[in-house]
Amino acid sequence: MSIQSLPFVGFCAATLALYYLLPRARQNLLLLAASYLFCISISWRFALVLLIMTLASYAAGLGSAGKKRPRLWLGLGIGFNLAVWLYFKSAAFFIPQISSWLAGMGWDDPGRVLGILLPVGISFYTLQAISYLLECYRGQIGTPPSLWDFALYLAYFPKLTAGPIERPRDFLMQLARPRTVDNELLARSFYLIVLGLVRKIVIADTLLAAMPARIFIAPADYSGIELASWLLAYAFGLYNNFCGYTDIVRGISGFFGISLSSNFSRPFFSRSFGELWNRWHSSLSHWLRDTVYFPLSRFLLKRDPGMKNRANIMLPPLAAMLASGLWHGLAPRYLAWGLVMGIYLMAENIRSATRPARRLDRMPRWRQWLSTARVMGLTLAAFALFSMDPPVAGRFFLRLFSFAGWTLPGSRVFLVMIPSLWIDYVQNRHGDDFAWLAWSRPARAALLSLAVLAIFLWSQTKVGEPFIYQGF
Amino acid sequence: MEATEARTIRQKLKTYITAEIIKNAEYPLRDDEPLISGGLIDSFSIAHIAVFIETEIGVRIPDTDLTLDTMDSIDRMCARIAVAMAGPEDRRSP
Repeated sequence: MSIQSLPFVGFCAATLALYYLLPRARQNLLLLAASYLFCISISWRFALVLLIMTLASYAAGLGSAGKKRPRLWLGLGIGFNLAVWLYFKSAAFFIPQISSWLAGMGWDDPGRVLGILLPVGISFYTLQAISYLLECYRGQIGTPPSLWDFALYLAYFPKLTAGPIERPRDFLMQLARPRTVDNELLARSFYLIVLGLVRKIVIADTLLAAMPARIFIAPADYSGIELASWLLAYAFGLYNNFCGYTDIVRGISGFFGISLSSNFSRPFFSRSFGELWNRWHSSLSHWLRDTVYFPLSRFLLKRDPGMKNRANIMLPPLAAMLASGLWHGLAPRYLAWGLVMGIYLMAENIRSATRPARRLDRMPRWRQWLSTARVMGLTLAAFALFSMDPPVAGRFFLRLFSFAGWTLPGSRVFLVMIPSLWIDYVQNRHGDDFAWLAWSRPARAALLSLAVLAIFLWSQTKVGEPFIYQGF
Repeated sequence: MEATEARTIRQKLKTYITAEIIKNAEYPLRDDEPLISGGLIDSFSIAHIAVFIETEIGVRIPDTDLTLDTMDSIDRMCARIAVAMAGPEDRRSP
């Protein structure tokens, strides 16, 4: 059941109707039941994995918050979660390879024989379970939540398949307190869903469907300009695909009165890599910052608090970004991407350690745009590493800078990026995701009509691309 | 926390941030100046400030609280330090 399918709309409508018929005390239980039903609709095996990880994490959380060997419980809990995640993640990496060898040996359907699939959302709820265990151990949770509330924290259906990765305290607090859904929240939620559908169906699907199938397999078949253009199109496609997903699920969750993290904040306007990671998939980068970067940096700084502590300049960004690469997958491409992103952050750390700090927002406008262009260009290079295996990426870059041939891709690729840039520009200029809600009523009505018409027309003509991050 | 102690902490923080992080002791840092959202400090600097607060002021702010809400200005940092001094929290660090 995809979140942009009609059955999902029906599922949400039925859940919402029941939700508002029930007393407040029963609403969390309904959401939990709906979340497991949603998971079972994809596969009952996935629901079983989620249930086992929930029970194990809850038990380990109680132990971590207690006085008897809390460190042991914390280690057991984190170890168990990581072991299960690693098992499925490595299976997802190795099975296709083993499967292709078996196919070569004459097996008819090797995929069915091996039959291990990556449970939907496991990469997301594993990180949330680890956050919960750490907060229990540090005494930040207070009174432990009920098993039902904790189970809902991991399974909550709008965020189950691809996040956002919520912080336990914030989410559990929302479950415990009364929830108010007023007209303003309804308007914002509806607006987010429409915006998300425009990003996903109109922009991302168009860009990703137009991509030549072999662009990241045989780059030598394309000119340098084509490669650069399609790389840009891929970056915009990936961004709108994931940002669109996040907007849709935030909107759905808003109808239940539960706020989810925004995850994206106009990342292509970033003026530094530090800023980029606060704007791109920020729920993951904040998790990495809280769990990898800051603990490691504090450990190193307690031994040498100097600004020029070399280990502190290099290790935390490299460790955090390599962990991010591993989280995306166990393939060399993700590690190469993480390494390069870590090096970018390391270079910024060297700058922070050696040169006077300056306010980015007070730099001359042209310097801010120059910084944005530098971050964007280097991020695109990292995107290339993310999209293909390192040897192919090497050929990609050689071809990119060969300046051989001047064939341009179709202009529609560039046209469909304009709405994406415009949306981000308006939001960035006002510093507000909901900038359009301040427009006059006729202007809002015209924009909404245009958006709904575009969603309708595009959904008639395009084959829906999957939500990319559901594959992680 | 007494008013005198609060003033001392605020001054210590300002001196450290202007001298070590901004590297310009003459910088006219306002108490409400946006440090993170203005692009003046990053995660690298926040870790340094957190360790300074821990070693020089004796308050450990948990990693999960080193965010825009608590670290974006001198005012916010002081408010967070006051909360931490008022009651025990983050009893352990792994």
